[in-house]
Amino acid sequence: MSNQKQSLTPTAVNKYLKTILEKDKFLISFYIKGEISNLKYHSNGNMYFSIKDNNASISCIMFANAVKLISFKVIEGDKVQLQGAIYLYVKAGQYNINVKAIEKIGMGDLYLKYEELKKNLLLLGYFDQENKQNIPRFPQTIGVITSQTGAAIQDIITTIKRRYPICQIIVFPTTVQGTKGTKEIVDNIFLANQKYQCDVLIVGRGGGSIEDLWNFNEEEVVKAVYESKIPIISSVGHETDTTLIDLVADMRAPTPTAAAEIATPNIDELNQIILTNKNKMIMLLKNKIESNNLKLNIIEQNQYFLDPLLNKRTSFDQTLQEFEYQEQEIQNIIKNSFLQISNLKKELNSAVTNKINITNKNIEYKKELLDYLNPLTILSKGYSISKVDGKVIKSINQLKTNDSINIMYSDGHVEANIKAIKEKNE
Amino acid sequence: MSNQKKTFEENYNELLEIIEVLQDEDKSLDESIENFKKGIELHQLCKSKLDEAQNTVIKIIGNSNEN
Repeated sequence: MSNQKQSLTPTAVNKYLKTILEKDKFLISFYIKGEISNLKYHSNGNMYFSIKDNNASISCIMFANAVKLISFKVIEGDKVQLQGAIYLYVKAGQYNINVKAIEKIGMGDLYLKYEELKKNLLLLGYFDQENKQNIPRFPQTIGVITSQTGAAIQDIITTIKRRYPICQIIVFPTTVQGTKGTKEIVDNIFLANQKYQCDVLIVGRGGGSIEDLWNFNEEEVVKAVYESKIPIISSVGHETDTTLIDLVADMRAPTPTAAAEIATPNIDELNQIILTNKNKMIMLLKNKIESNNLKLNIIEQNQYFLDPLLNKRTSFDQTLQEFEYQEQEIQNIIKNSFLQISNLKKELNSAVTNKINITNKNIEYKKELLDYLNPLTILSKGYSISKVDGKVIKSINQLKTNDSINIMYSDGHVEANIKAIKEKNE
Repeated sequence: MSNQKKTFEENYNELLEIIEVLQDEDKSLDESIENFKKGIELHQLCKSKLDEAQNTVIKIIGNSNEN
């Protein structure tokens, strides 16, 4: 190769192009209109996206200092006008637009379509919580509707195998992008419902642009999910992408792995739960036996159990005691009565004695009085009693001269005649 | 045994119910023992299901467009 012509290196070509492009007066600072696609926010604050029309797209980078100045939230599908400059990377020979400013023109067609369909379906109740089915806790068969080749199916199978290897997976290989996608997704949801006993379906795909995910915003797909008798977990794109199927699905998962986790219990945890339940049962039965033992002990210790006749005996003892008490009472009463009688007797005796004494004294006195008043006694002292015609003479008026009177003395009486009558004061 | 025809979920739920019943202090010891026996049986059924050392069965369905 001696007559080799002078060759350029890739570096030289890229550098040359870079010089031409970056110095071109039309490309140093220009305005461009188009639709935002493949939007990514980087953690360092930079924003990466494409600006596209129906036929072409150009990669764009907007650095953090410029991103800060944007007055609205840039989203996929936004129709925008950019101001920027062409920048060429020598290493890759790729160029992009270094965006300095971004301005919204109007929402993108796809975005408008999405919003309109979303509004209609919302009114029809497609997204209502009450229409959602429960995801079974212990599925026997899990259907997966996704691309057979993507990373999503691998993530799903790996996760299910790890968490719940005892269930069956039915894969429905499905085109999930482009014109064929919509029909295949709808057909497979229908097929799973008609022919296969799936307990739950995972429907989805990995990340992509809004166009890549568009099948999952189609009305037919949303309706098929809504009408499915099998509960559906959706997992489309990344967590930041919300497609209409995510809104209508019974459960939405941020990633395919998460979808598989929602669909399955963890077998290790389940083993643990079951073991715990077994131990709990054993403990409960032990407690039951112990509490019954305790009850039995209490019964055994009961005084009536220890001495069955206790009750009878107690009542007998009580009766006896009562009887003894009553007997004592009666004896007391008798004793008291005797005492009372004896006292009364004594009182009576003394009263009678008194009475006799008093009577005796009275008799004595009467006798003395009688003695004192006895006329014979008086006669013996020298007095005499004179009578006329048998009547005691108390006055001279009873007498006349010559009357015969009888005078009585203590030892006899005499007959006498009245000679004269003289009054006292004569 | 009829239990073997039941799904894991049915056995599992029944096991939880039995634990509920075992917690009921009003149940007699005889009833508790009966329930305990049943519970242990259910536990065994659940465990043997989880222990089934089978690999996950993966079926791939030819999709409707290819059929």
